[in-house]
Amino acid sequence: MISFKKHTLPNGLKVIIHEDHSTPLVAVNILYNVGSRDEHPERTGFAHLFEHLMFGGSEHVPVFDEPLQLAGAENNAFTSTDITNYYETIPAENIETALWLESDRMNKLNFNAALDVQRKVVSEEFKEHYLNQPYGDVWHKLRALAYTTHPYQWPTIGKELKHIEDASLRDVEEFFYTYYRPNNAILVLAGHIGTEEGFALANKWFGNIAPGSTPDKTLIPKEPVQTSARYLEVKADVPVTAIYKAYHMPARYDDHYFAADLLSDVLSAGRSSRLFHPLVKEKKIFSEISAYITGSIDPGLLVVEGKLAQGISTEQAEEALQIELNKVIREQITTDELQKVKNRIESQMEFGETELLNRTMGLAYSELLGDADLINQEKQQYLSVTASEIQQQAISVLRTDNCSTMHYLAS
Amino acid sequence: MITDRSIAPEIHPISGIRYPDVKSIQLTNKIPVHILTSGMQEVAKIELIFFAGRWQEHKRAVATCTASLFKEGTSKRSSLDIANLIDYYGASIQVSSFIDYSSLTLYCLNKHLEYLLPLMTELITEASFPESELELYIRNNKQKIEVNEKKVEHLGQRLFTSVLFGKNHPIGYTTSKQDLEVLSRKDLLMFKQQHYHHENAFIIASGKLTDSHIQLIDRHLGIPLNQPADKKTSIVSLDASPVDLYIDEKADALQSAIRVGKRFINKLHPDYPLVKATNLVLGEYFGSRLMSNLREDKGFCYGIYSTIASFVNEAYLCIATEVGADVTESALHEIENEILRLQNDLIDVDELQSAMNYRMGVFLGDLDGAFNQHDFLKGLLLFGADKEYMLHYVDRLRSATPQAIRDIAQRYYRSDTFYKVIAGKNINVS
Repeated sequence: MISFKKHTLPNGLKVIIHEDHSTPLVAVNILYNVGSRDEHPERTGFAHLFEHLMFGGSEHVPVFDEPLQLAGAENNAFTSTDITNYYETIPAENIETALWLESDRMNKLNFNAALDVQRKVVSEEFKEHYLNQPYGDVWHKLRALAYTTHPYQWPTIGKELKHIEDASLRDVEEFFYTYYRPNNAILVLAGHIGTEEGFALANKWFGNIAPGSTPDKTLIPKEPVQTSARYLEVKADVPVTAIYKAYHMPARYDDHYFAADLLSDVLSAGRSSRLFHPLVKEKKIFSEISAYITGSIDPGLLVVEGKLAQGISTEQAEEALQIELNKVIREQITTDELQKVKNRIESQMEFGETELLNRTMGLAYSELLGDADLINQEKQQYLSVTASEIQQQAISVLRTDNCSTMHYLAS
Repeated sequence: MITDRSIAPEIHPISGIRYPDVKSIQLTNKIPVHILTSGMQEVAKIELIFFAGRWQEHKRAVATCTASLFKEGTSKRSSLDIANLIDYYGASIQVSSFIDYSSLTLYCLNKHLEYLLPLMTELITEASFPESELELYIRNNKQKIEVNEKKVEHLGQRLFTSVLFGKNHPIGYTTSKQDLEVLSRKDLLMFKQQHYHHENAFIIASGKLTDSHIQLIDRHLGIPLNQPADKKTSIVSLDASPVDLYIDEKADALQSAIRVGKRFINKLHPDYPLVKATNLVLGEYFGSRLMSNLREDKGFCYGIYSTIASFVNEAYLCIATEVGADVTESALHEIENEILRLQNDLIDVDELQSAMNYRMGVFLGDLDGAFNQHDFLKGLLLFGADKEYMLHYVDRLRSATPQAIRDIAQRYYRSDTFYKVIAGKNINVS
């Protein structure tokens, strides 16, 4: 149980305080409700590039990181398809340094300072992680296959290098004033801080930042229902052939989300799971196999991916995999199996909550989903899933005509 | 209320760095146990550490392979039985192997310790390393090696460690397909017998632990764990014969992996705290000189770090980055410039202060909560270091002066003592 208090400033900034006086630190987390799903198809990678620019200085701060280092803080940020999230952990007595910096860059970023260099840095990031890596472009290809319409069809880094190289100062300014307003953000302060003090500080530093118009998320194009199987074959300079199967699954808001998530655990969490033992250990069809979900806010994907064992053909692998998938479609999982995936969830959540920063981000994300308290309700939502609901998800998600298959062939 | 953002809030000095509140006891079999109790969550992390790493190997790759196969069968259970038991409780047992040690770590809800500790004991005493599991491990890991060989960062690191230490040294070698092919079940059994016993181990237990949990630990891990055996000589031999620059060419690479470094002093050397202070300024954090120059000023790379890899009997320094292929030479040149600048110019007091404050903040994070303390403590115990060592270390860092940094740079960072390694495309470096 994570206790917290919540308050919305007049400018729309949501503020959440979570007290934990067992630590000398405070975690400061600002979530902006913007990700790559908000991008234009011809200007992809922009949300992430913008995350880099947020460290380039603001009206009264020449270099964002310097005061933080002096204050003994650690900080970073990440961008996903749905959100951009910034955080600091800082000794409690220096919390105002973090709030000053975050508020100054929310109020008025120095747009020009970092654009030229960060375009290059992000291009190197693109090369390092997506181009100059075996299997590095898998998600570019798989997303484009699974999504025809929704912006999830490109990864957060962007569709192509060129989009990043072409980013202009005008784009940057427009993006900032559209998405980086207090009414589009959630601030969480957690750790060694009092609730009243936290609210007062939030008001002091963020209270006078002007709100903007609220971005209309309903304009994000919806993905039409997939009605037939899709297939893509790729030949690449990799030593081992891999198979990827992406199935559309319920959105994060959907009641069925939790059952679909547990389905992915039944398939591949732990070495006793449905896929690992028969396919890697017994039949030796795959050398590695896993199933997981993207967990996105709009309807995401349940992905099964595996690398083929030496001498196995893609046909053999597909057939053996389908046999295992058919089992969870045709029969309910056993009581023991259901208990197992639930025990796993319970354990994962307890371990997750040991880290202050995890709790902080979890509160911000839950608030984005509609209510910070969802973080406390989630466990119950998982524990109340039945074997029959998991089978229902297997039947509706693991359909051939709901699947995008990619064979990534070794050359 | 009007807030004036043109005035920065006052920054307070960082205090409260304290040695973890650790309780150290011995189990019935004399294994030392270090207990860190804190936290709200009902969880436990029990790590059983054996001095059974690469340093102790009689054959390349045997330490990692042995560790990887502990969960693949005992005299009583198959690998599936073991997986079922661990997975049923939502727990995990990670077996990992490093240069100086290998360890089995149990993560579970503390209410499940009574079901999982007996399994930990069984894995250590009864692991049988079935032939078929070894065969599968070798086959699947040969594939992983093939995939790694497509990565410039892997090629760069492989060449770098072999240049510094030679391919017959525990730090110098990178596991090859041939290394795996010649491993037999006998090797694993022998390695286990020689090194996985209670006289060669210590335990760190952290989480929300009560006396009854500690009693459970003693009941299951306090019994004789294997017969202590005479240690075989390991294969450590240093046969490096370095030259200045090594290149591993990969024709289609978009980026080059650069590794620059040398054999170095380790944690136990009296100069280590000041060397760490110097290295911090050079390349251990986002505001470091290398990061500021090569990333934030020139945009050559996504990241660049200078790392001191410190082992019980050895150490090396490594400056590592992946840069755009076209700027490889310029990047090397800038790395050299930053090293020279440390030796020639006195560091600005503000820059030094900023780096040290940052580091003190990291200490607070490293010491926050039982699980962070767990890892911190392990880093000391492996070296036989204690509270006094840590307090002295923090003190030396705090009191580092610009003169001391320059002096250390001149003694330990002379460019002609560094080796350079590049993996990438069409490299043309003078």
